Amino acid sequence: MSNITCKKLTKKYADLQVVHGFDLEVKDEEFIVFLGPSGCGKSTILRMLAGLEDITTGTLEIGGRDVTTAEPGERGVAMVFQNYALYPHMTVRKNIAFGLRRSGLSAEEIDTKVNDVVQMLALAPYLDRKPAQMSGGQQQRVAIARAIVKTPEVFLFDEPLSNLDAKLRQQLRVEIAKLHKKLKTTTVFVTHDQLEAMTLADRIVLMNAGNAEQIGTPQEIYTKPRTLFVADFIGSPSMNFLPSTMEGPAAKTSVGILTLDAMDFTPSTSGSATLGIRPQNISLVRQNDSDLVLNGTVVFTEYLGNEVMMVVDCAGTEISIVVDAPNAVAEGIETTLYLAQEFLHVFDSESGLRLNND
Amino acid sequence: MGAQMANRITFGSISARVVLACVVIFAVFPVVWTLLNSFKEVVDIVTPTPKLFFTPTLENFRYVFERPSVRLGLSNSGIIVFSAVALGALFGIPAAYALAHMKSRVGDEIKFFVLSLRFLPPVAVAIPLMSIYLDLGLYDTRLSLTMTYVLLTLSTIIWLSIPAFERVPQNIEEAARLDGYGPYAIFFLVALPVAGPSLFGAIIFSFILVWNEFLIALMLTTSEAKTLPIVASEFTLLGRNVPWGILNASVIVLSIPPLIFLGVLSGFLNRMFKK
Ligand SMILES: Nc1ncnc2c1ncn2[C@@H]1O[C@H](COP(=O)(O)OP(=O)(O)OP(=O)(O)O)[C@@H](O)[C@H]1O
Ligand SMILES: [Mg+2]
Repeated sequence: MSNITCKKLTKKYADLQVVHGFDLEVKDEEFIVFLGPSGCGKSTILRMLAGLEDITTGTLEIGGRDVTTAEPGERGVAMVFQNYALYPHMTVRKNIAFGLRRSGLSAEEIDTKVNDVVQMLALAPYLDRKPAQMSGGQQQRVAIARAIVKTPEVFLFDEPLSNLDAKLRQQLRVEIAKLHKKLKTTTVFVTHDQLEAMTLADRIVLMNAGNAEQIGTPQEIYTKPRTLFVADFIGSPSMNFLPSTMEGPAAKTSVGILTLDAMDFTPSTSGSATLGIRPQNISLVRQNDSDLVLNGTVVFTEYLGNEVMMVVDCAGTEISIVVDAPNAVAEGIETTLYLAQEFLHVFDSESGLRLNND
Repeated sequence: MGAQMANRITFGSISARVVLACVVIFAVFPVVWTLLNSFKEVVDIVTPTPKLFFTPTLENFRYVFERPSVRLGLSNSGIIVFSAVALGALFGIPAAYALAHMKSRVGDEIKFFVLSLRFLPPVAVAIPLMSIYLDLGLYDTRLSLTMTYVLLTLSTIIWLSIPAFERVPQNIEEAARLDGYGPYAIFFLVALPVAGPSLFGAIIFSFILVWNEFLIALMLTTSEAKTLPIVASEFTLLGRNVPWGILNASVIVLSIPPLIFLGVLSGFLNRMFKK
């Protein structure tokens, strides 16, 4: 069992508190992704798990063992860094074997283990090269091999794909997903790329300013964002927001009064709410009788291949929508938008919390 | 288009080469002349028309090496400089490693203190040391000059090694910690080999510094512990007729060790700048 339990973790640098009581329970074999904007504390928490940063207060358990103050080497974790962090003076083979030299294994056992991971990651042709003689993608595969060979209880990844180009990033992402299927090692993976988070995670921890804003499956995070911050952070292009004042089901917005008669939500205590709808959930044709209707003029289009992103000016408010390429409307043309109420989110403007009852 | 490019490159590189050649000749000519003169007899040196072709003689070198003072100076220089550099490296490199990792004000103060040692004029250090060594009965010994030179090598090596260790990426040492290695193992197995080439440069630099050192040696030695630069300078006092050939030969003898080391050093510098 290699579950991870974080209890009220905090981190302070001198007077600056960067992590505020972080709680998380990672199940055995789970793939957890920390997602969030730059500077929100993802790396800091990961490094606290690794033992590279001291934990100011709180406790950390890995596999049921309290490791709050344990040395990095005694925690049973292996880490992959954004900049690969290979030992530049050692060959690939030595890089991979370096961590095993402390394990008391015999030379033959080490050789067998190294050969196994080399096979797994197709590194055989590079064994005698130095890191500087390899591409970024190859180096990162060596770094992953170096982590795997130790058969740790937990893998930690800090933005391992950020330095690679788009194509390689996708290849390696798939490779990491396959490795996790095969090895089933509990994993914590830090990224600020939502595509990586969505595709890899069993559960996403969405971070904001040193706090977990929402913890849930990719689907939960996408379809039921707990707060305005999550709703805004996830999804591309990002969600449309309409500030409004509520009177019963009637929402007074800058684009007119919208009657939310087919929705179930708790009215906001302050009376002011923010409506949110994803560009993908707005259509150019009516789907349901309850659809909300807006009229506007197309001011901008962006061709995405399969789809087209259109920005529509509705009474001075710009709404972005995504439609299949053949249905796109040219710039300057007036059009009608249909907003499906089942995909509409209502947030309390003050607390930022989502008010939908679902 | 291609031809034009090629033209420009040739023109550019030719003019660069010409300039470079002029500078090299300007810098190297006196040295070459000294080298030539060290193989000449005095008559060939003092002729009004400089001679490029002459019958070479090893007489000057024989004279230089047969002088007991030169032999003593050579062995003094060898022992003192080697010990000072070895001790400076032994203590300076670990100290630099620690300082490179000390991200606090105390660390900065220590770094500045080490640097400030190098600001002091040598004479300001030598005079108090001279009276101390006289009191302790260590004046004019290899031991006292070695101890004094350690101050120079230590501060130079520390100062030049700190950036070398700071260039070792932090993540590499962290990876070694995660691989289960303690601080000493990380120093010897990771930091030292990675920073190695730059550290070597620091050691060579400190070697050249103390090998050429003159002022302090002049003040702290009189006979027993005289180093080669002092001995060589004394050839100018040999008599009314300046023995140019011998002087030139002693200069060559003095220059060879640093030249060898400089050759090694420039190899390392090239390697560092290429990467
Ligand atoms: N050594 C340090 N001293 C002081 N503050 C620090 C230190 N390290 C990090 N911080 C601060 O802690 C906060 C969190 O940093 P962290 O590196 O965890 O962010 P991150 O979420 O990983 O961001 P990114 O996506 O850019 O990597 C930042 O505001 C940063 O300025
Ligand atoms: Mg980070």
